[in-house]
Amino acid sequence: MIERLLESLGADPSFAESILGDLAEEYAVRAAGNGVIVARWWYAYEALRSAPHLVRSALRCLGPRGVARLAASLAGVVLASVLALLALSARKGPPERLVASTVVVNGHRPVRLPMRVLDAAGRVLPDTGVRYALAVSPTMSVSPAGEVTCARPGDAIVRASLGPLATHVHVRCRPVVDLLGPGMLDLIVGAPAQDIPFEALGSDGRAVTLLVGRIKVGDSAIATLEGPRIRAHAEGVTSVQVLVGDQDAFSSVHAYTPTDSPEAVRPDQHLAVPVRLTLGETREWRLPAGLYFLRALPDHGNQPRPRLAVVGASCTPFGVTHLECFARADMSVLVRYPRRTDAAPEMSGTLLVWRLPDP
Amino acid sequence: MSTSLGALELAALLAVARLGSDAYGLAVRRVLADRLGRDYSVGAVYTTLQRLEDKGLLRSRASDPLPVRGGRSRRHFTLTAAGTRALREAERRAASLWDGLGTPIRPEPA
Repeated sequence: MIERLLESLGADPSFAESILGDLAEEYAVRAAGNGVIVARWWYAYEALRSAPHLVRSALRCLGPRGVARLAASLAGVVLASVLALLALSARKGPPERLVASTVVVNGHRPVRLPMRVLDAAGRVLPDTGVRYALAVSPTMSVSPAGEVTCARPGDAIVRASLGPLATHVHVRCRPVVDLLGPGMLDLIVGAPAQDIPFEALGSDGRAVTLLVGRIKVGDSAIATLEGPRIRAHAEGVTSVQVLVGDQDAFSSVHAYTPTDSPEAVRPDQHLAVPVRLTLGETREWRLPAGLYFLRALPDHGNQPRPRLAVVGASCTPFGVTHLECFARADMSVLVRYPRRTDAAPEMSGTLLVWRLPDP
Repeated sequence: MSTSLGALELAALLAVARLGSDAYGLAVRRVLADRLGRDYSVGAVYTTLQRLEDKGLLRSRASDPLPVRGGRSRRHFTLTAAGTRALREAERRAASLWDGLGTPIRPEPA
């Protein structure tokens, strides 16, 4: 290889032969005296530190083509060196540490414990070969491969080991048997992100609060997640799915466009009308014939809910918050802040109007 | 005409002069290492020897191939007349620089 390099550097063949002969002669002496490995290291070191002198010498004697050839050779050497260094740096060492965090299990199905195996430089290695055993457990079982099955609520400690390395994983079993979502979630375009109300219940019927799961939104053009909250971007209907353990809760999401009046509402339109009322005041809007979902809600949870009434339509409650109304002709929607002795003098809220598509 | 010589060039010329008919790259390197206490690389020594040859201060000839060198020949260097003159000139200049200095050299008082 060195002979080819010297040749590519434009070295005179007799010059190259002299250098290589000297290297071979001294290599033989060193190999006899210090061993082949030492001699090889010396040879590589000698070739490396001779390179700058040979390049400088070649540059003095070469023409433009020779310089180009030399540059190409040097680029090749540099590239090979960089690749070799990259290959060396990418090579991972033996396992040095096992890293695990506390694991929450909300389902009854077996769950594989997450485990990170790191080498001395902190690079992640495959976690195959890690073995698990139950150290303390009244409530769960674990397979040698690390699959945890929770029978009932409780905490446990699992010992994980890989050769001489070992660590403990804290497992918190909180099985969820039912997940209740809001059914229908109303958002206003441009409003701050809001919580997704849902409740997880354990086998004893009590709420489970230590949860790990996922939330998925159907159409990100209409709404997106901000951590565990949801924000509307465009008017329309989409869905949100909450998944915890073996359970999931599916809700429809309606995004409403803010407007001053709902009276010009078109089929398949969602409008949100801000309403400000003084004590005892009523506001009224005329809506065209059609099928509607209506809802009146206060801007803040601690305010009283405004009363919603409809004249000229047939209405039935939908869930606990909405009114489903059908009107053959124009109808009136009334929102009222009823008089009460303990009520604030003024309230602000929103009237939500979703006119369904005409059949 | 005087030829300017660098420190390593002068040292290599002197090593060749000292080695006589045995002057080839490896031997020159050993002399430089013994006398100067510096381990010059093969590349440094050969580029210097070649430069001296280009300047006409050395000439070289190849020996027969040798098994100890993997079947390669040695390149023996000898001083040319110009090389000998260059060494004398360097010696003269060095002597003129030393001339008048007492020995041992003492540092200037602070």
